[in-house]
Amino acid sequence: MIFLEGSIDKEAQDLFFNGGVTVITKVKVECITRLKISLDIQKVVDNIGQLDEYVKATVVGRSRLIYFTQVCGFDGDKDMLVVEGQKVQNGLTLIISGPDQAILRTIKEELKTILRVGRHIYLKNYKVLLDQQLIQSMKP
Amino acid sequence: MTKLVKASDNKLSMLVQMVLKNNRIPFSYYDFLYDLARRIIRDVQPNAMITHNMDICKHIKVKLEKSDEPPGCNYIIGTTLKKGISSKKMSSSYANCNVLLVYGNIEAKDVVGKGDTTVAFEEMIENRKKSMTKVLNKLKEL
Repeated sequence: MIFLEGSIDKEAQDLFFNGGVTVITKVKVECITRLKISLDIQKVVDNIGQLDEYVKATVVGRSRLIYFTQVCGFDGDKDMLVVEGQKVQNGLTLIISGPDQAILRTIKEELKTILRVGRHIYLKNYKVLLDQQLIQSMKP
Repeated sequence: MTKLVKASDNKLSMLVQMVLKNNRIPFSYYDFLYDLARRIIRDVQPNAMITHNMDICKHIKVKLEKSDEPPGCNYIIGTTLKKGISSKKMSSSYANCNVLLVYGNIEAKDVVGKGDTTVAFEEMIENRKKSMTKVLNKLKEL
């Protein structure tokens, strides 16, 4: 599957599709950046005509599953394309559902604070654990 | 270590309670928010983000969904995009799929070159098809 920032002519798209390559066009640069991180891709191809110049491992990522889902947003239903990555730390999407829009919006904002402070709390544990391991490794 | 983890869990619990109180969010959201925060913090390991942005929130995108049921969360490891126009022909799902990211457009001149303007139109179309097929074969090799 190709995620393309711009567009592709119909003829080429049909040819690619019949050959088993699906092209998704008009993907925003920020989405491409997120996909790049999420799928552990090192380089984004600038010119598809010069594919020989790229090393396969650096430009090709692997998605566990790509599927469509429908999100019933507060301003209407939206169809979403979900691209599942390999590692949680490379990108996570949360679809929070509930009856009250105002509360959910507040939660969305406050979740950032909770995660940042919470992460700091757990990082302290990690530091203590590392120190313990270091001390143990230094014992004769 | 267990004591340390318990202490951290308690601190996180207090933090969630404080946020709920300060923002006048009903306490019925406590379990949902606490479990979600703990799951995310535990999933994203401290040593995970050394090459990218260290801010945990940069890796998380939150979307809201209307539901009559109690608060819940769909936890997706990956990215979501708006459904594009060109995805009409797509199958409903693809498992273990190779993904290539491309900037700009895919234009004929990228694969055919500027070409000779003196050749017949039919010949030009034929050349273009051949070149596109070459690119497709290269893609399949990846």
